[in-house]
Amino acid sequence: MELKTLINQSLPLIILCGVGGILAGSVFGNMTEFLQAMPGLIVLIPALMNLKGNIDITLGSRLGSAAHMGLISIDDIWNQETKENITAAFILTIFLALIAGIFAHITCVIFNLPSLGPLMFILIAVITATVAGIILIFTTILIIILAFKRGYDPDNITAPALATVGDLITLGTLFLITFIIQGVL
Amino acid sequence: MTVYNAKKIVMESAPLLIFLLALEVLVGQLLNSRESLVSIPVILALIPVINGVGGNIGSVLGARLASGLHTGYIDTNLRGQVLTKNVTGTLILGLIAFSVLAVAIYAILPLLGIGVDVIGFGKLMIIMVGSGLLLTITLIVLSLVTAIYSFKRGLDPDNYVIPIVTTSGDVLGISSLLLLVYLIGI
Repeated sequence: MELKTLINQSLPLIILCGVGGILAGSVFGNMTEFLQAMPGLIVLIPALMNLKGNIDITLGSRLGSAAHMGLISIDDIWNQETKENITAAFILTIFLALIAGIFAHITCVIFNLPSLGPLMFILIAVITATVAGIILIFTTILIIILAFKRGYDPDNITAPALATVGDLITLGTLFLITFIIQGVL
Repeated sequence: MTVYNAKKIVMESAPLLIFLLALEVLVGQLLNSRESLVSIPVILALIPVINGVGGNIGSVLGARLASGLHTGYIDTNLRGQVLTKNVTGTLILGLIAFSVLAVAIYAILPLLGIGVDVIGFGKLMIIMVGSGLLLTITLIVLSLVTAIYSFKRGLDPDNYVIPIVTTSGDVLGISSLLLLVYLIGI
């Protein structure tokens, strides 16, 4: 029965994601020192998490529809349909990261917060989103392949699975990139 | 000729994603500056869980609605078994997930050094499940409206439902939590 399948396939990942949220909250609390060293980063974090989530979960959802329409399958996943979808996700990632950097600066100005300056925001946002984007786009494909192999409906698992790893990968990449840029400049 | 076209996806998605990005950043900042409203650590710890799980459940429904519309299993008149099953399934998912996570929060937070005794298990459960279900119901309605509306206009629901549902999850999650805290009291 479809209802039971939906719950069986989605529930474990959704609960895992919730537990991840409990832990993320406390990890975040422990990063206050790092965040104080880079004022303004706190504004960029929700922006980058929002755009990564929206672009990659949407990619997963489109590929889920493509699977249901018979456009992609386990034997035929690297075809033109998938490539068009990946290209779109990649272009959106870079374009929106640029805008996220600008928004972060504007928000700092409006709320009278210390800003890293528009160029630094854009630099960090675009590099982070590009690196995290490449990882997440391939993670999306991997999740779809795993769903096919296990006979799961991709629609039941791509969103919770990507939300869980997406936030972790984006945050991890952001801290790494900021750390590197801080060292270089 | 492929069904999907990169340029078309970008053109369809970009305006909405830019708008939602601005909303997320501005609302996030507004709520941040009013954090004192929810200054109790255990309540603060609930925010990412409610937002994330609400967004997830809404996204699963959104992805399923989009696939259903694309394949014709769901029609835009909002009738039929498939749709009812999807909505019921989403509600059950929400109920179980938020109940289990309320127990998990009660067990895990003390290990992370956040006291849960100020609120107690009963109230924590009511606040968590109450605000979770309120959010789930709101996101189900949003998901349905967005999916049907975009599909009717010849747009791909996959490009609209999930961004709208996840961003609303972040914005409305905190609102439903505050409402429940206000109604139940601590």
